[in-house]
Amino acid sequence: MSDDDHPKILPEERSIFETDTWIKYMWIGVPAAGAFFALMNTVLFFMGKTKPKFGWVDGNPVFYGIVGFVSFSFIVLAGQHLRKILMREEGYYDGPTAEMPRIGEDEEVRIRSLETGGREE
Amino acid sequence: MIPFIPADTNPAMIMMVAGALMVFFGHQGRGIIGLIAVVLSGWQLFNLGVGPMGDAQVYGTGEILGYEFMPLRLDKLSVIFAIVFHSAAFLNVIYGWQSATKVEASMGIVYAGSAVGGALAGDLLTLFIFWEIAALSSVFIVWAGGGHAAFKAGMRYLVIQVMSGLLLFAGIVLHLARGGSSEFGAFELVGEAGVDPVAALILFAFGIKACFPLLHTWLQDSYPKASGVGAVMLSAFTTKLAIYTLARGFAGTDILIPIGVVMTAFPVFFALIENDLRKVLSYSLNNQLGFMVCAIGIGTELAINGAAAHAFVHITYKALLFMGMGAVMQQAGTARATELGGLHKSMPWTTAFTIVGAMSISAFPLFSGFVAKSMITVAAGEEHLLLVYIMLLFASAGVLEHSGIKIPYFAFFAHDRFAPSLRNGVPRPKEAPLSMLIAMGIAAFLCLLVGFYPPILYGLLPYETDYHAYTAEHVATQMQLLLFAIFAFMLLVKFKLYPAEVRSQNLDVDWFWRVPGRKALMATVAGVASVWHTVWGGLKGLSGSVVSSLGTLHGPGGVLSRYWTVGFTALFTAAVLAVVLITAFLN
Repeated sequence: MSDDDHPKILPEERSIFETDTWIKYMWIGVPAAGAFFALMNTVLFFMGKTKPKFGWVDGNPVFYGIVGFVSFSFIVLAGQHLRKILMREEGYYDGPTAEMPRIGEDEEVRIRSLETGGREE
Repeated sequence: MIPFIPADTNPAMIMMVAGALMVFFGHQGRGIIGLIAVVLSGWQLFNLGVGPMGDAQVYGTGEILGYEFMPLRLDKLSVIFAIVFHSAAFLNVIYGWQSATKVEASMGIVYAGSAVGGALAGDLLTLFIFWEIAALSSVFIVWAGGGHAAFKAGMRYLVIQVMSGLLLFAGIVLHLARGGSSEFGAFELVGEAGVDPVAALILFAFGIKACFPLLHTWLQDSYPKASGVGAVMLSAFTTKLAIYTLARGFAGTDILIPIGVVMTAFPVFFALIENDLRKVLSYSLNNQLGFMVCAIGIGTELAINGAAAHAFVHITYKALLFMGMGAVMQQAGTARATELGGLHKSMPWTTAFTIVGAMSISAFPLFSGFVAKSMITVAAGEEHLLLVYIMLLFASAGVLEHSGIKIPYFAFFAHDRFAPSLRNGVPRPKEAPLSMLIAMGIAAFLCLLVGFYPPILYGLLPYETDYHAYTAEHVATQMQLLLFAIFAFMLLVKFKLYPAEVRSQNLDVDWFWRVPGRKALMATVAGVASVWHTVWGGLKGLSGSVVSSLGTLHGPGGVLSRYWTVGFTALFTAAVLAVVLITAFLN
């Protein structure tokens, strides 16, 4: 997932989104924007313009930022361990028959399958 | 009114007849008929009008054998679903203009018509008929995906869909048998006498198609096996028709709140580890249905408005996401994350439209999800359901992970696997065909239109509302949630904590019936066959012995068939005569 794992492509094949400058802007822009909206909600809080529904829980001006950060991190960090239980090799259910054509296949489906290299699944 | 059709014609019939006719035409003819059918059907829907909740416009009522039919009931709840079904059908026709097979194009319109008919059905039997037509027409779309895997998935899909129909039918029959009304109205699941088993049966039937937890796997099994075009068709109708029926029949049923919450939460974990991006979208669909089910369980006017609004926007942005992945699959030959990446360089329009869908489902301000989803969370807040509220926020972060980031990131950015330098000069996949781009463009426009101008959606909602999505607080809190979640993603990637994609098959609860269930079934079949062979073998042996004995007696040279001598015959006759005479004498 890190930049080290990216396939080695030629510099001229890189788009603007794959340049160091763009990535630097992302590292600045996203936390800055998050901080801006946290500040904005704080200001709204002190101006009495917020309407919390659960008292101090969502009355906290950065409650939503914390929920977003923690929830996302939890989903990714905990969720990936599900693979230990649930992951099997491809074709676990159907085996080689998964790639078999169907008997009496629609002619148009067959043609489309050929057009896409027969790799549709 | 439309001059050449009766004034009270069901819009569904227009689409279904046209869908049947489309089989006889080529690509262009199918597309033109499909568009005309959707426009005519939409026009007819407009002409029929709409009544407020509780005072619906009703057409075509009649009585057969004491049963009161009400094939058309138009109130604001049914009409908002009928409108969005028309919108989805329109997008499907355009998207599949060049790529849909005869079966997909034809059954796609029949399927859309059945969903419209189901939404407008005012009585239970009419609902059941359209419910089953939806099941039968959609399975052809799964099968049209081609290949053995699609065929088998279609068979599993058919079994589950028909099972839902049978349960619904059983529920309807029992409901009518105890003197219940034929009108499709609200059911009371829990009354003074406890749980009503008939209502529970009907709820179970609806729950299968709404993908309740443990009943959900037909969706993730079948939709990714359909073609790129077919998956777009499938994504819109069945599950949303089920949501409509829940909103109509079980609004305010408390049990739907925890069911909905679980539905929002568990798919985010499955979507995280899934490699097939169309299967990711299928889990995402399940997660979005959870928001709607939860809102229906809350049951207030704001919540029902939220469920309807969310269904409306969801159909459009989910179709857009499936369209994007369908285009990728058609052009790149796969939807596996492990084999994709860098497509923004050669498919910029598809990338842009998919990102609009991703931002809409993630509920960024100015996109359609923002103005709809918040109605549900606010409804939970107004009912002081803290845990539900937090779980919905948690699920919102999950939506951002699987649909907001994972789909566009792995398909269009991430690892550039199509660079010509990596593939011996093989050029990159080309941009999607024009018809696909037009359909995606319209869907993206609709997402932005509703996001920029929510009154266009709010005016269609079942109940009057003064809800305002664009408050400074709502924008600030939602952007906080999303941006800090994105920041978490960046950190996880930076520190290599985000799981790499792996080619795999991830198990779900359908494992229980696809592996041990299948083995148990096969063992049962073998046991029955064994018993049958034993019984049949015994019967065969017995009958063989009887026939053999008869053969021995009556066959050539047998006791009863051999030629007797005249003397023996005379002696035997005399003996028989003697026995008769003695018997007569004794009597």
